[in-house]
Amino acid sequence: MSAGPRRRVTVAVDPERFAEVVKALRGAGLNVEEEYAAIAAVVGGIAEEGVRGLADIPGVEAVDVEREFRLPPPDSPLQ
Amino acid sequence: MNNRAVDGPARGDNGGRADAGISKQTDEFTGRYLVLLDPDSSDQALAALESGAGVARTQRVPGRESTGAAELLDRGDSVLFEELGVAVVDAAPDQREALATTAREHTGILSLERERTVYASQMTRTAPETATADYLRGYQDGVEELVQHALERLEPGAAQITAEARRDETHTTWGLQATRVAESTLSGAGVNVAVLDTGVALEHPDLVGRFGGTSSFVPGEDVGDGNGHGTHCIGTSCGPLTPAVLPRYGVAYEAQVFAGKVLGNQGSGTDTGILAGMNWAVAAGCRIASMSLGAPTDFGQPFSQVYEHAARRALRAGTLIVAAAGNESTRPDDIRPVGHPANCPSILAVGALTEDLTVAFFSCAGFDTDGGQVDLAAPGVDILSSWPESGYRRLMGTSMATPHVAGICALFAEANPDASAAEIKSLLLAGARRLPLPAVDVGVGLVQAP
Repeated sequence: MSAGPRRRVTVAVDPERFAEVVKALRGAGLNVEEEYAAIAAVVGGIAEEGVRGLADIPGVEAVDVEREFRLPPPDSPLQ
Repeated sequence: MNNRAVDGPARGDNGGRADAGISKQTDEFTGRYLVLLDPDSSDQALAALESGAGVARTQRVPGRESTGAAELLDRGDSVLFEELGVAVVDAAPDQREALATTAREHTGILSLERERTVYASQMTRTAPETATADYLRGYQDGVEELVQHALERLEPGAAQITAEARRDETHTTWGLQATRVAESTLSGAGVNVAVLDTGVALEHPDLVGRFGGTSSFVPGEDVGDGNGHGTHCIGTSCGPLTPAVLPRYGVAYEAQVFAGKVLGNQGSGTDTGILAGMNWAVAAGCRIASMSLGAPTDFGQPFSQVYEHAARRALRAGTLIVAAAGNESTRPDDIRPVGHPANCPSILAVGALTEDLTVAFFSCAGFDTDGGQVDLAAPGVDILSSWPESGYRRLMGTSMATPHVAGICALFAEANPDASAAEIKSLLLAGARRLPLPAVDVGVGLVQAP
């Protein structure tokens, strides 16, 4: 187990083999936290060096490192 | 200016100008004409109208003194609304042919149109001595239509000089008027609309009882809106026909709202929460998911493949996703690209317009043709909607434009109950009002209600 920094990632998978691909993602070191079957996506954490390998798993369509979003303060006139 | 549109004086009631000498007074038209002038040669054009068509001397009426125009017209004078570049002239039946000829031949006259009784009815029912602001508002409406008609023929830069008349917000917000929601008979009844945002003020009197589902995807926070942004966006997309305090500001007033909290009370969130909200909206059978959120992108930055795949799944499952194009621009000097995730090809990106239908200074643009386009635009400045506690607030942003589009999607969905999400998207884009503005800024134009 790597002790290095971890990343949260979002992964789009082939909806036709959702369960199978999720299993393979777990096998590749992804700690799957959420499964979104309706849009065939999963979210999880993984050691930084493992991120690149996820895209090579058959049935994985895309991998993103999670982003953050921030609205302006509520008292700003521009939203 | 070469682009000119001249309507024959009789067109519209009997199909030609052959009745120029017939003094038929129908209920459709008054004896007056609206003349759109090229501002660079309005003096010459007015002189031509006087000498060529024999119309009465023109009195100039600055915007601030518009209330005096009624009296002038009643006295038989012609009137020029200076700010609008529109003259109103009276023409007797035997003057009409000469008027049309002058309009056709003089390059300073961009358009000639008969004044319609729908606006002028106020004039005939209102004694001149009582004709004031309401009277002129009728005129403004009339000339606005003429201006819009002619605007499409003008060069884009010319749009600036013919700003639309300011709308009266006594009964409905300017946004609902500009998008023709105010005239639509549709309500969004039977349509589920998801708004993925900062939650909602469930106790707001205008929104009570409107929810088909609520859920928070923000760890440690319930769906209550400690921010206000979500309540504002839900108000615009789905607020009531008759709010506690006028004007009406909501589009799909009978839609069933699904309020998904994907941004915390401090306004921040993550991809995880947003994807969770999208998943929830699809599973709940929402035909629209409105996302007034985004993260800035850099020029040339590719769109997210994860969101693109998720949005395609949503589309196939019947959920159309609309998202804010982003507020990172400071026009005219700094124009930024459409943000994430609105830059995904399968997510509709919504830009923001001002009340005079120019691009809002903050609205992002579609530089990246690989999905990063602005798809369409909607009202996004000075937008009144619901707000926790204080009741209402006026805000600007592509966040405010997006729920106008989402609500109008619900109207299309109501009118087309069996249409797929892709079909709703096509109807939405096909029905937009073209604007004389760059497509990179406004896409196909201003969203319009069916």
